[in-house]
Amino acid sequence: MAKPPLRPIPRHRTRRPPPAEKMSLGLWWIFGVLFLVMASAFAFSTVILLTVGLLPAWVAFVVDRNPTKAAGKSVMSLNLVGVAPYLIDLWVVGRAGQMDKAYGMLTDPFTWFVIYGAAAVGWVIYLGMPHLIAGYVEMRTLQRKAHLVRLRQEIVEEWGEEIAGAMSRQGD
Amino acid sequence: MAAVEKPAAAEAPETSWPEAKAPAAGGFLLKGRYRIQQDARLPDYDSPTAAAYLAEDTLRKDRRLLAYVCESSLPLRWQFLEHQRQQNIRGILSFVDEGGLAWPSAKNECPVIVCGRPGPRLMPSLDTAIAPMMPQEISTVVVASLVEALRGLEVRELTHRGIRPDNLFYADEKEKKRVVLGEAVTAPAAYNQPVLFEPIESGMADPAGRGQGSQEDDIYALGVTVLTLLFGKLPVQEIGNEAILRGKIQKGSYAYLVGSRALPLRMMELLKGLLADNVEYRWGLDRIEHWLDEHREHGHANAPAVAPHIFTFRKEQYTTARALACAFLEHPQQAFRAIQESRFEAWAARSLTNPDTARAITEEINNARSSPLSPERLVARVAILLDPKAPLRYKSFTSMIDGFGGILAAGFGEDEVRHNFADVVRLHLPQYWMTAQGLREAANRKRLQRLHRIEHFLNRRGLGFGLDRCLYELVPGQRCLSPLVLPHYCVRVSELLPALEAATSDQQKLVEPIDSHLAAFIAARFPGRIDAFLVSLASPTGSAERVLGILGLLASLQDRYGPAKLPGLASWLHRLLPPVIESYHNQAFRKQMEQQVEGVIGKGSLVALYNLIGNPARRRADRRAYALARNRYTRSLAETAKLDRKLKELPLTSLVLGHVFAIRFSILIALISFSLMLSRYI
Repeated sequence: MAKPPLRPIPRHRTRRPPPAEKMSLGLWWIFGVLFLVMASAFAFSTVILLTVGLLPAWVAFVVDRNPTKAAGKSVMSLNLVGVAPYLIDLWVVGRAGQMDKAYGMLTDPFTWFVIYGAAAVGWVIYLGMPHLIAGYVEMRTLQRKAHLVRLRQEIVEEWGEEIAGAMSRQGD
Repeated sequence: MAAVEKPAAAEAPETSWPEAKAPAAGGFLLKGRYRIQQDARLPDYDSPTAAAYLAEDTLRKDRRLLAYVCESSLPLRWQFLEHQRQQNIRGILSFVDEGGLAWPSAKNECPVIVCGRPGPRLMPSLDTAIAPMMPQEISTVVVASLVEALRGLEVRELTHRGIRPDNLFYADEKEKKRVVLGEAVTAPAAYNQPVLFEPIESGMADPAGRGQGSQEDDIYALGVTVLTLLFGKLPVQEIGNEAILRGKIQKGSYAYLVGSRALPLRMMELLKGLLADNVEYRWGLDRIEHWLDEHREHGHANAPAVAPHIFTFRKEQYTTARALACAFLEHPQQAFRAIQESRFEAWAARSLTNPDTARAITEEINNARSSPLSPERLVARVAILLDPKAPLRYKSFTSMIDGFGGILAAGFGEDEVRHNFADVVRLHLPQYWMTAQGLREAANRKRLQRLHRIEHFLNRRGLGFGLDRCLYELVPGQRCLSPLVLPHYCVRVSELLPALEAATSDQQKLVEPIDSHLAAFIAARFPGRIDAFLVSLASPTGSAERVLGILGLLASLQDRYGPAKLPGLASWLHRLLPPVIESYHNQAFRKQMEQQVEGVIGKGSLVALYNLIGNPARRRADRRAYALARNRYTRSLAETAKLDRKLKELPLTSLVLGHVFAIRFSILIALISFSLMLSRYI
């Protein structure tokens, strides 16, 4: 009696668990706006100041396509530094005159200069830092290369051209 | 490679070359002391391989001396000579001195042996007849003297191998009461002996391959000598060697040599004892001394062992295994077929007295049938089994087991001898011969070890090995045959450097001051450790390793034997040094060494030269430092390549890094600012 042909043993397919879905940016925005709406019920002037004052940071977050959001983070840090003195002033005057104070601040060009100037410094740091680092690294690398060339020259002087030849033969 | 540590050559006594200056006033001066008179020949003392000349001791003019000027192509019997150099043996020609001499009629320098001059010969030559000696005179003058001489040799484990009537001299010119044995050192052992004076086995061997033999061989020669003196002429005359051997084999030596002639009863007893073909029955010295003391002894009849059955080969009938072995060896192709016929196997089983031999023959035949052997090899092996006491015979090579050196030395220039010798050693015929003797392993161990060494040297390639090495290992008295030194007589390794130095002006056109003969001679004779140098000699010509090998070898010689100054050889070697200097990697060290070498060459010290440029520790340090430098160079190249890659990728990496730093820097500024702001309210 002929034996039935052996069937290959089916390989167990291991299903990878689906990656944990991150909360999308749009959802963050919705939560952010909801939070601001809810917060404006208690501190409307503060919400107005932050919304308007931190506009450069929000823009930086939006325009930065880099996943690290380096532009947004850099600009946000210094944008906050620019907003912080006015925010403190606003909280110091008390709840009754906050709206007037906020209005006064927002209509003062110097306030805009300080807040947006600080954000601009954030942009400068974000844009300038790579060039600064590149210049520094290039300088150090070229110095090291020059040192290595001098070292090889000394070795050839001491041991003859054959050492370079031996290396090139090894390379061949 | 071991350094020649001792720079002792400068203190070594300076030897000069040549040791034999010629011509001095009235003759040639040997070692500055013995004047050899070229015009004063002494033909009465000639030996077949050496011409005798009158010699004079310039320091003691009363000595009666003669000088044997030997053939330049034959080696001396060095072991015999060394013993005589230490102490002369009573009853043998007294040895005085030995050296090399540029003889006018010879191309190369000849070995010269100065001896005491005895009285006249007993028999001027073997061809001439003399008055028969009386039995009484033979026993008291000849036999008694020779027994005394043989006793002296026995103590030193030597054999004479030159006992014959024309090599016997009266010890004294006037009183002819004692005889002395003539020279036996100017050629390989028994080389000058006619077949008549040799036992059957030794007589079958090539004259150069008879070997040292044993005391029994000397006693046999004594027997033939006694018989010759008794008759006043050779017992058998004008017959070829083949016929003599055939006669001895068929009839037995005593019956063949004496024939139908009547002998005095007392002499008959002696001769039967001395001429017994079976060594076990041949008299020893004790029995001869008994005989001299008038004791009666009965000699054994020595009829050859006849096989009970006849074997027909090439239409001839053979009754003895020995005769059949000879016939086989003469016609190996036909013998090869005959051996494999069933009738030979049957004959061996029925006729050979030793069943082990018959069994061994059957085994050989079966082996030959299963795996084809060359006819010569099979015949040689079967001949050994048929006649184990006979010499080892293969093609034209016929030698006793201890005669290989002699046969190789005498025929070294002939390709046939060289090939046959190599075949014999590679086919392990000597080992087979020894097995056939039935000797115990312990007795053969030393000889087997020697054979293994010879085979190893033969099979190994390169300078210092091969047949040349075998020659010098086997023949202690062999002169160095290197063309570099050949006009000179170099038999000791200490004589090489002066000879090489003397020849430098002629030889510098050659590339290297060494060749296969010179290397083999040094390897065989030099007592120090030179293996590393020999290994270096296997490197290609012109390589640093090879030059260092040559230099190390010659420096070792100079270190041990001097002379302290060898300017010619040093300048020759100087021309070979560039590869060695270039083998050092450090440039500054090279320049420094080139300057120092110039100074050392001027002094002519090879030892200093080797210690300067061949010092192993220094070479190792240079190699190690070079390896480190090469490593540094490699790492530097690798790092440069890595830096280039880094530069190439810099725009991308700087962007990533810049953004990271930008975030951190911004946060840092923010934190500091917040801290300052809050500090106003806290």
